[in-house]
Amino acid sequence: MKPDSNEPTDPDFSEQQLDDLLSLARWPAVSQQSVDRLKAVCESVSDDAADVTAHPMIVPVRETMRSRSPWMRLSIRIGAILTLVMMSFVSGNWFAQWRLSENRENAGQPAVEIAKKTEQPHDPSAPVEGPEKVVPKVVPEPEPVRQPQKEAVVESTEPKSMVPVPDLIPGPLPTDDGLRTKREEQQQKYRAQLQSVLACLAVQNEKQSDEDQWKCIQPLMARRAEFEYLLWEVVETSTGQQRMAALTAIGFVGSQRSVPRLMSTTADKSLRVVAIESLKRCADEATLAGFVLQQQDADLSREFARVLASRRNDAALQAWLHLVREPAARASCLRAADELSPELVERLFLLLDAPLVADRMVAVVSLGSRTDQATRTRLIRLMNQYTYRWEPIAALMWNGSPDVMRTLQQRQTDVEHFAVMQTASIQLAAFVGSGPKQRPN
Amino acid sequence: MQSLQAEVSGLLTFAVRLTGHVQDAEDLVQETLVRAVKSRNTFRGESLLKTWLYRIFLNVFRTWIVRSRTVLDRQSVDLLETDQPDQRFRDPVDQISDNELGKQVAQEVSRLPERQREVIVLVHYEGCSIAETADLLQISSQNVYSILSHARSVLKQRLSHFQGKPSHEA
Repeated sequence: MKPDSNEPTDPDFSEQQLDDLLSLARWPAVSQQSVDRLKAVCESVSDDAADVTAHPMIVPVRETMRSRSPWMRLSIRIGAILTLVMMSFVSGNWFAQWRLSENRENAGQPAVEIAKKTEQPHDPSAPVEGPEKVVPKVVPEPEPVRQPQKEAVVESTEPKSMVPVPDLIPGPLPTDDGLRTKREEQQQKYRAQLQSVLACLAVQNEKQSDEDQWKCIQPLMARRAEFEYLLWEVVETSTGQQRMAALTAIGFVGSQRSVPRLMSTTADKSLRVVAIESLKRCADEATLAGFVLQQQDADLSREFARVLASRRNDAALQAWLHLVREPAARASCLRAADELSPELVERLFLLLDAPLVADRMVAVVSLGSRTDQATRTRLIRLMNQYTYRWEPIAALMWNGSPDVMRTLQQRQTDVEHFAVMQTASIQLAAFVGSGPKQRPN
Repeated sequence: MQSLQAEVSGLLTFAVRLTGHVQDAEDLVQETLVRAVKSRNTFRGESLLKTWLYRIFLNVFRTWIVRSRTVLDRQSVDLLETDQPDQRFRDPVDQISDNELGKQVAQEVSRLPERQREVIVLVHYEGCSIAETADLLQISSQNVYSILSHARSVLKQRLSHFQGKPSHEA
């Protein structure tokens, strides 16, 4: 083995000589005793390992299982199957009863609870107390994210609208007739509950804030699908304040299924404002983005963009990115940039470092369109911290406020900064080439 | 089990060549055998038993090297001071017998850096081919060539004072 060596060595010391020298190497001899001892070690370790594998806790279990008679195994299996069947039967029965009682509770839950009623057992023969003694108390429900969370207390100026609905009396499982009767009772109960909520919404409808409306709506949230259906019934059959109240309620209770119907309702001039408000509440982010893109009315488009900006989830961010890239919708969105939720602002700051230039540019113009001092200060800080990055500079250029422009002019005197600013300017020009040339006011 | 025992002698010789000491070699081989027996279920027969065993040994050896690096350094210094006085004042032809020359060469081999030592012992003394060595050390053949070349260069420098002796002795 004589590999070529590039290292300088003694030219007289040849590879052959080295091989000869290496062949002379003599290490201490290995005695036969050492070899025998190691073989013995090998043997003893092997025996120990065999002992471990033969531990009675592991192996004999399988062996005893195998040694059982077929009848024994069959009986064990049959026993196991019978146990499973019994358990499933019992659990099914229990589940059915539990569901029924839960339905009863939900159906019998009134919009308001009467303090006295909760203390005393229900007596159908007892006269219903007057509305002046009714203490409205809304049952707390888990609230969706987009709604403000407040203590559930309804204070209506017209307590007459709050019609207490009696609870269902728990009893044995109903027969078919009994079930039908129960359903009818439930429907009546729902309608009564709905009427009380609509009355609550109709009261001083003009003055009510979102929070107040939300408080009125809360009793319906437990059975949104049912109430959505009933509310549309009300919209189609009733008129006036009740219809408006139903449309308002659909904004809170309604699902994505209500969006097309609400859209068609906007054709009615008398309902347009309320229908649009409801649309803004119940439409998801993609639908809102579609509205922003398709709306001919610039104000309405901006309204939808504002609603979209105030959302906080990923879908809102994705829709926002899509809209700002679209020249047709960019102006509407950027005018609503001040409405961006804090979560979206944070993500847009992160997007200044996105791998795609298009995403970075969306972040640049979105943040640059914000007029608040906090965003400007943060952009200036980023510019000072990362002098080689053009994104904060482009955002500040897009912002164009006098104090920011003064800062940029001072910075322009430095040659290196000037080069980065040139890059920012070029990127900005390339992005807005097909859209508005300046920050929308 | 018997196949393992059959490899003990060769493994011990290999260990002595790498460590330079019988006692250390015995300890390492013992640990290797224990590990091999405990994990014999993992031996799938994809390689030779010898290769598998040598791999385990090399792992044990490297761990030992790392653990006792300072001790080894101290020992090697002691050896240099006692067994190998300054070669400038010694006439290799006159003062070193064949046996001593062999010991000196072995000592130089066992003093090589860890990886070079492994390669040169495997290639020169265990008779492994470059491919086998690469497989055993789990490195590329090119890498084996490179390490071997470096090791030989180092040995040439260290054994330069024995120039002419081997051919004469042979």
